[in-house]
Amino acid sequence: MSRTVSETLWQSSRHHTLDKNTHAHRGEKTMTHDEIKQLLAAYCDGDITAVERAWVDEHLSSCPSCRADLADLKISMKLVKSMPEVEPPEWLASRIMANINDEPAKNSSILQHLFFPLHIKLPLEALTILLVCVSTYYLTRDVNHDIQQTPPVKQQTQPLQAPSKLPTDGLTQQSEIMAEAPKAEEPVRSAKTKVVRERAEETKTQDTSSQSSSVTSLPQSPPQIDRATAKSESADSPAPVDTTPAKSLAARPAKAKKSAERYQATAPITTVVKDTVASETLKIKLQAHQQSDIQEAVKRAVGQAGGSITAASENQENRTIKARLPAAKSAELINNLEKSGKVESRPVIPPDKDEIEVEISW
Amino acid sequence: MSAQTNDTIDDARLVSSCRKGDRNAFEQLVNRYQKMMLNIAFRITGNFDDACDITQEAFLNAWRKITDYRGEARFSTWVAAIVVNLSRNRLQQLHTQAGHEAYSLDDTSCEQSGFCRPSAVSNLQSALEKVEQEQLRDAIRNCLKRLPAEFREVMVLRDMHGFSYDEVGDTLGIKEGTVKSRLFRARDGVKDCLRNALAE
Repeated sequence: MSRTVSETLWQSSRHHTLDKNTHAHRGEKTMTHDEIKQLLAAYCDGDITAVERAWVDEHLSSCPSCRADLADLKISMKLVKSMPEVEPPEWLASRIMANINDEPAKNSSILQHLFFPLHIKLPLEALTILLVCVSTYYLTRDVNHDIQQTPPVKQQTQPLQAPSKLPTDGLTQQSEIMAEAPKAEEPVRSAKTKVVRERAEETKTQDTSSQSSSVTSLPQSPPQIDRATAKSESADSPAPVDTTPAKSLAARPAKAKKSAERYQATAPITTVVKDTVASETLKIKLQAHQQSDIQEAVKRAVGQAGGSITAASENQENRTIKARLPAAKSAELINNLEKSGKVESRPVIPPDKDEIEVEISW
Repeated sequence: MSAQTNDTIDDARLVSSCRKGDRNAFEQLVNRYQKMMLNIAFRITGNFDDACDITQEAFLNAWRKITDYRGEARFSTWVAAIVVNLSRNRLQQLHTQAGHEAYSLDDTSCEQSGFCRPSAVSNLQSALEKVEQEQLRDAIRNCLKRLPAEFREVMVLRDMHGFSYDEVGDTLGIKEGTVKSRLFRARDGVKDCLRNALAE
């Protein structure tokens, strides 16, 4: 059975009994020689109490063995402390620093990037929570507000119809504008749009005459959008009216049809616009100077104003011509008509319409 | 203000820079303490090459964990603890490689090791004085090497590098009473070892 050197050393120290009969006295108690020996190392270091030092001094005066031990201890300690230190090789520091320089930068620690210190992290978290709460509150409130206060459809479509911006190809561009503009309002009006779309589909299935009547029967509904459908259909069937004007919609049936289809397919909300902006015929009463060529004069006036004749009727009392023209040209139309007679009733041109339908009677 | 206090303050300043990634500051600490750490490792392991390797690894570990150093102890004490641990690991490796060649009471080499029961007291004081210096150093190195590791560690830190009891305790992770106990036993062991070695 093996025992370690430390145990052996300590046992030899504890059981070293050269002079077991040597005692140090402390009052009535005595310290054995072994106990005194164990204090010698601390005695060299000065790490004993004054009383213990007195015991050791008293014992040493009468114990040559302990005096020899103390002398050996002091010498060995002196020798140990005087051991020369080894010098580090010149390459040691440079190699240490080379190893350290190979280490990645300390500040690039992933954890340090991910986690701020607590005194920074807590305020940031509090601020974030506050922002989330405030944002959620306002977002929720806005949605509820929009749902509860769904504005009249006509009001929403008004900004889309600026007469001053009406282009020559008014139908196409207007359809594009109408198709794009209402997108932001689609979510909040989806329910209403659905209803209107269903109504529009029903309208689409009807014949041309009934379609026109259903569209025109809607209040406050200018004819612009419905015109697209009407003219698209007119391209497939014989034109009921004069198609001579250069800018006749009938001359562009494919484009008009395509625009109308895209308009209906991409933006359901524009169906709402179609119904509400449906035809409102503006009536112009003309007192002709000469009844003989008044009809031709009216047609010429419409053509000069960039409009097109859509219908002509005659009864016993008066004659009527319906025409479509850009709203911006309405003033020019009236001026042209005044050359042929006196305009007795001047219609009020809606400011939010790109194109109008007029009924000129004399 | 003492030189040691100045060094401690300067160490704290350098360590603070090291925490920010200042390698130049750490190089100053390396230059200041590499010799001490090398000697501690050398006295514990008894092998110069191992001591150099341990010193390198100790400083590398210190750099990696510099943010863990709280400044409660001196920087040298903190690094010395790393050196002691690495030295222990190295000794453990050597011990394992040597096939558990532990000292035993039945070991016939006991007589040669000098850690056996001391012989009768002789007039060693005069004998020690007559031994030449180099022979003494060899004998001391041999005696230190034969001390149990836990005793040797205490003696190296306290008697050879002047660590206080507190610092030795911090370095080794033991209480002050244990430090003293081990120290005094180590001194007795070295004394007896030298006595026997020189008596021969």
